[in-house]
Amino acid sequence: MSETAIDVKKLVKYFGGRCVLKGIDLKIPQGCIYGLLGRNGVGKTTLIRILLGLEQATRGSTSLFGVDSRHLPSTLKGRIAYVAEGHNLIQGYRIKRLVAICRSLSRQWNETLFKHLVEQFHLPLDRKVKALSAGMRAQLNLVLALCTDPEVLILDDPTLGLDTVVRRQFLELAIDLIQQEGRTILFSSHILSDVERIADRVGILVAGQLVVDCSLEQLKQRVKRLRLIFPETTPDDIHLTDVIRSQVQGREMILTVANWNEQKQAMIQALGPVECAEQHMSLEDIFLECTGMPPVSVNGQDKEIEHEIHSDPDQTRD
Amino acid sequence: MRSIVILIKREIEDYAILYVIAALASCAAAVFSYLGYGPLDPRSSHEVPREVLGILLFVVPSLAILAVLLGAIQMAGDRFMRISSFLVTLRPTRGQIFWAKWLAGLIWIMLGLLPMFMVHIYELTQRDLDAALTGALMLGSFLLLLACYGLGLQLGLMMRKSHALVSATAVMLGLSMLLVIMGLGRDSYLLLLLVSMLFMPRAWCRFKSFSL
Repeated sequence: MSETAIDVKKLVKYFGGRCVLKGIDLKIPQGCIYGLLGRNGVGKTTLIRILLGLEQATRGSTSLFGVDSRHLPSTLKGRIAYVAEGHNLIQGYRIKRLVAICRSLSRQWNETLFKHLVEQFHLPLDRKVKALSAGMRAQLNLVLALCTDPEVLILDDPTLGLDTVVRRQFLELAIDLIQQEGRTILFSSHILSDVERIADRVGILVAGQLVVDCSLEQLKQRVKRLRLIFPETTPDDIHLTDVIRSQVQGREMILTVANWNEQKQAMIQALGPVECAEQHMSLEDIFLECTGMPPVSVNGQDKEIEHEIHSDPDQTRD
Repeated sequence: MRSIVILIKREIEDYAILYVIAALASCAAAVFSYLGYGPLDPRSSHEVPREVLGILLFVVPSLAILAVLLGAIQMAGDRFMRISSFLVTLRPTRGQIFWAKWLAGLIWIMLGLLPMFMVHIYELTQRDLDAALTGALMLGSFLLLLACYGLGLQLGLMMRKSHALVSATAVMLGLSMLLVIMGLGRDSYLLLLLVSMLFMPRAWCRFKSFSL
């Protein structure tokens, strides 16, 4: 994990007057499996499309293996594979024609893997792409991407709209191949359990900004949800930075804090709670907190504060 | 280079019907032109027979309309079927995809003109014909088709069909008038070349920057 495979610098994208990406900075080292999370319309697909040169950035730059995405040479493109949201295949072609084109255009084609996967997925090679079900299109897209033996695999919500069985099959295959060959993978998804299973690093996009960019482990260590019970009333101001959410009910306060450290722990203890218990947070809980899902209001004292979580402390903004 | 060849092959396969039409039209025109020249006779005139000119005047404008259609279908069909947005995720670059389209168009033009040209060149070697006129006819036809093909590429990239139709009609009328008024000569060749050179970079600029 030394060389940077994907590098995004101060990326800004406007569609009309609407700013979709607001100065994204992101580095993905080689061999990393990066899960890009975010709600609908936050710019995940736009970021990926700019990265692949399908869309132009308004400002900033993106590069793959150090080469500007807008000018990727053929040799470098051959090392990258993309599985698009909605499965970006030529609908009017028969599968065998599409396969023939991919085979002849790829840098190297793994025919053994292709035959194995076609058999495993029961892909009908004589059928037209438009006649396939969404699940089969997803499988075909993954097969075409994997058989080119890419060094970088970009999966943009590949399991969107698939049923549980196909999704599981898709993921099992992806995990198998990822683990075997140590590729760099950028994986965007709505399905957090998928990301949790696959990714070793995550980024969360909120309103066009990358508010989280660290390893999954770090994320779980850095975001804490505490249940504090005070002897009489809860303090009006807890003087703590990076509070994602605080929810108060009587003597009880549920506090979600980003960039958790010993200093913050000491500050909490200084408030004098009679009880301080840490609550388990799954990736889904963290995601919901970070993406600003409105908390269930109990007594109208809920508040949300802007926060960012990065593995590099210099990037953390108070 | 290998990618370009594969992409050209794909273009030809996708629009095979237009290639077949061009080949058939040109072969038919070649046969009729050959018949139009008639048997070799040392006393015959030094001019290209009127029947042969009539065939050219019918076939070349028809091919010009088809050239516009080919260019427009290549670009509009590409966007509609999201062909380039798939291809560009593989090894080919946008530049290779565009040049493959353009070379496939050039092959189509040659397919539409070569059989006819071969008959004229053959007759030129057999008879005492005006070589300058035959050359002018061939060069003029080629440049006209090239300009029309460039126009087609440009139209295929236009979002509004009504604008594309109006623009196509206006430019086609303009080109026809140009050839009628100016006749075949250096000025008209230059102008046709200029039109081709204007459409090509414009089409490329749009193709390389739009969202796929």
